[in-house]
Amino acid sequence: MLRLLRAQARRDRWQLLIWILGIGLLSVGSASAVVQEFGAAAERAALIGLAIGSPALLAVRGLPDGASSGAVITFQIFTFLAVLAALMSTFLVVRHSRGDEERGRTELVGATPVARSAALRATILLGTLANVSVAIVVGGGFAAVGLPLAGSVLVGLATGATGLAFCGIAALAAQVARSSRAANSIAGGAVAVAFLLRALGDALGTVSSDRLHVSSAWPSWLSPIGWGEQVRPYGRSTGLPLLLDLALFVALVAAAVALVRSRDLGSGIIGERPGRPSASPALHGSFGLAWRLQRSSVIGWSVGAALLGLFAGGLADPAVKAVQDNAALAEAVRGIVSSGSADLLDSFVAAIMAFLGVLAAGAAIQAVLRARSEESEGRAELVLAGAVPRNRVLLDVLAAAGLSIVIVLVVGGLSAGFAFVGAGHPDRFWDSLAAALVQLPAALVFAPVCALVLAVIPRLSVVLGWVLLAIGFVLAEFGAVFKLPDWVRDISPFSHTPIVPGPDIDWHPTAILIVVAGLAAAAAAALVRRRDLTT
Amino acid sequence: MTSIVEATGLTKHFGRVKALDGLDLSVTGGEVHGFLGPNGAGKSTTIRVLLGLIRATGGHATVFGRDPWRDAVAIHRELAYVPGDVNLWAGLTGGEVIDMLASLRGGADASLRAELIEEFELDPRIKCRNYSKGNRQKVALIAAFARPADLYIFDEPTSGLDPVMEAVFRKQVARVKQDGATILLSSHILSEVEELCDRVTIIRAGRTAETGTLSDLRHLTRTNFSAVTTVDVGAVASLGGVHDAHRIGDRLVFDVDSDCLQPVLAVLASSGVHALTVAPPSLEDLFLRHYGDRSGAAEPAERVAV
Repeated sequence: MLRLLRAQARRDRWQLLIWILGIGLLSVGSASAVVQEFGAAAERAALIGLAIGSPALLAVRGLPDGASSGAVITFQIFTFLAVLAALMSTFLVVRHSRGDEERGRTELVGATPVARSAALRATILLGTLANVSVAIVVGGGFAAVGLPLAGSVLVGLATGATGLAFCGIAALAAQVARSSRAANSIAGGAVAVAFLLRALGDALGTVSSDRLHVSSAWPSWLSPIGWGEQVRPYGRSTGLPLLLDLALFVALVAAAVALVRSRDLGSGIIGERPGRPSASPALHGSFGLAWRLQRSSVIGWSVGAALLGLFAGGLADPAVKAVQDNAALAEAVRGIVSSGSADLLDSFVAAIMAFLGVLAAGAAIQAVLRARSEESEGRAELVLAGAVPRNRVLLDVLAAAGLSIVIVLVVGGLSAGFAFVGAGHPDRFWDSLAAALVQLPAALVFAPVCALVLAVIPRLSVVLGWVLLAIGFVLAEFGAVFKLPDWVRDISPFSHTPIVPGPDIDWHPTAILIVVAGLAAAAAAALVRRRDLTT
Repeated sequence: MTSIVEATGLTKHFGRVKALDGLDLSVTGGEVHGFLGPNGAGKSTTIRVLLGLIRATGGHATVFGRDPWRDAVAIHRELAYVPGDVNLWAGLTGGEVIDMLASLRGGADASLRAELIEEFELDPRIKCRNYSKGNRQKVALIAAFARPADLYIFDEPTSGLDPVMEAVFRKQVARVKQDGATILLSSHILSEVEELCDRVTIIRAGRTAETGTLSDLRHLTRTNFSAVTTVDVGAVASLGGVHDAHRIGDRLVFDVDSDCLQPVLAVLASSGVHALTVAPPSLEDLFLRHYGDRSGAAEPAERVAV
């Protein structure tokens, strides 16, 4: 078994090194950032106070546990570290168990005189070692920043224990599912559910009388990540909840080992679900195909948009109240969005909605760049051998891209609206939707420009597509921070988005953006007919 | 007979590489035309030009009398195509791909589709990522056959199919031929083309080497004999069209020009033959013998040295 362990570790050495070092760097980086930015206890107390006022922030961050540096850092970063450790464990275990079985490597090992469960046990041992390393780098990182040693050790142990629990979940998932893809989605889904359960529990938690602590509601206690949070390393400091993580790990690994001993090679408990034997009418034609291929990514982008909207709606009011007394901070918020006359709350929402515009543009760019991979991987050939013109195929892709933008914006806007309603501002519901939809023209420009590049210099399109979005995003969001001149910031389409609702809205730039998008789309459609299909 | 596909002096350059270098191809209506050449000879490039996916650098090509680049859509309405390397959409099922591809030409014929799925023994509910190469090929073949077309273009259609499925493919080709369709079928295996095709065009290094019916091309091929017999080497070697006759143990081994088989068979039949293996001529042998190289794509160094 040790030989198998060595072989698996050797195959993974770079991958695991990157995971572990990445988690270590994230803990050191965020810890030192908090130590520097929130040096004074009063500032930390203000931050925690702000967070406790906003359930959305509690949901995406964690459990406030006093205003000590260590507690604030843990509040800010622990759940993310735990998610990373969980994902590292998931991919590691599935890769070496079901993944190897799929590729036939397990068959080779199984033909040698080792026990049937030897490979799985080696993998579990590798996962344990990886999570011990994670515990060491996280604990060491926190201690290196100057936090109390006992608490830092506990943070490290909590992260590692969460990772171990997911080693167990992934080990069982890999035995139950018949493909590594399915196993990864079961275990990855478990990570998401664990995060959401604790998000719910923390957001619904009971606030202490000093408004610096929250005790989680019961859903947090159903989540391996939630158990890690309950350690409260720099407060009550107890390692006992981690026993729940360890118990889950041991129980699930035992079940997985029992399964691997008793089942046939290549079999699983649940099979791949058979799909539709024939296409629904929605899949007919080149738009049907473009939209079908885009659909699942739109769901992903929309989840991001919903979280962002939640953030905008749930956070805007308390944030604005917090910065109102601080003139410099208020000015900074105003600086992020172009016009200065608008209401501070509107400016704040607009600043967050610009991110939503970037998400929408990203979804659209992805649709166009998929057209490139369709071409280079030979699938476009099958479609274009049908009776469908080249420019029609490209325009259908752009239509799918446009639809993606609208969906992402509407989801983000509605989510912000509902968050405002939940926070006691029902009057801002429609304003939120408007603030989201006004991002449409800026987001709309990227996909046709990308398509134009695809039509003329196909090999450049993938790189250029994302670079353009990154430039547009950075210039608009951080132009003010970097004190760039206005004309440089104006290169970005996002700089021209008006603040809605707001006084004196100038719609001219928006109209120009829409015309540019239309012209680029027309040029792309005309030019794509003139070149060879390339691989 | 009308000409369905016509190409004269077709050239296609990719940078400095001449993929096609003056290729001629003529496919008449209602025939099964074999398009034969070693790997890298330019078969797929020619097909892609005929489909209007890439534009020829020079020369002239028509499909149904139309320009394949300008009138691609009109041509594709009457045409079905299966590429040599079938890549499908990982997240779609085979059935979905069949319907989607057929919808681009006006939709599948439902009863034909059901019949084809049964004959090719395809499970259409499986996601394409889980199909083997042969099954992906079946999906593309079913999509092509599921709606009647005037011209079928197959690029190495049986490279992933097992012999049973090859037979199903041949049956379908025979069916559409009976309905009056024209078939262009590329291959690098001579025997595959031999069973199906009325006429053959052989290309090599982007240029047409031979074209004609298979019996026209018989003179190009030799059949390899290996017989356990007491016949003397000299008795066979003295016959016309016999080459390289020699003995390996109790086996007599020799090649015969394909149009000189009769006297050889007579000699063998008149004396005792305990075992006989007759191998059909391979395309590789043909190229080796008549053009002095195997690949056809590049002139080998030893030929320059001679």
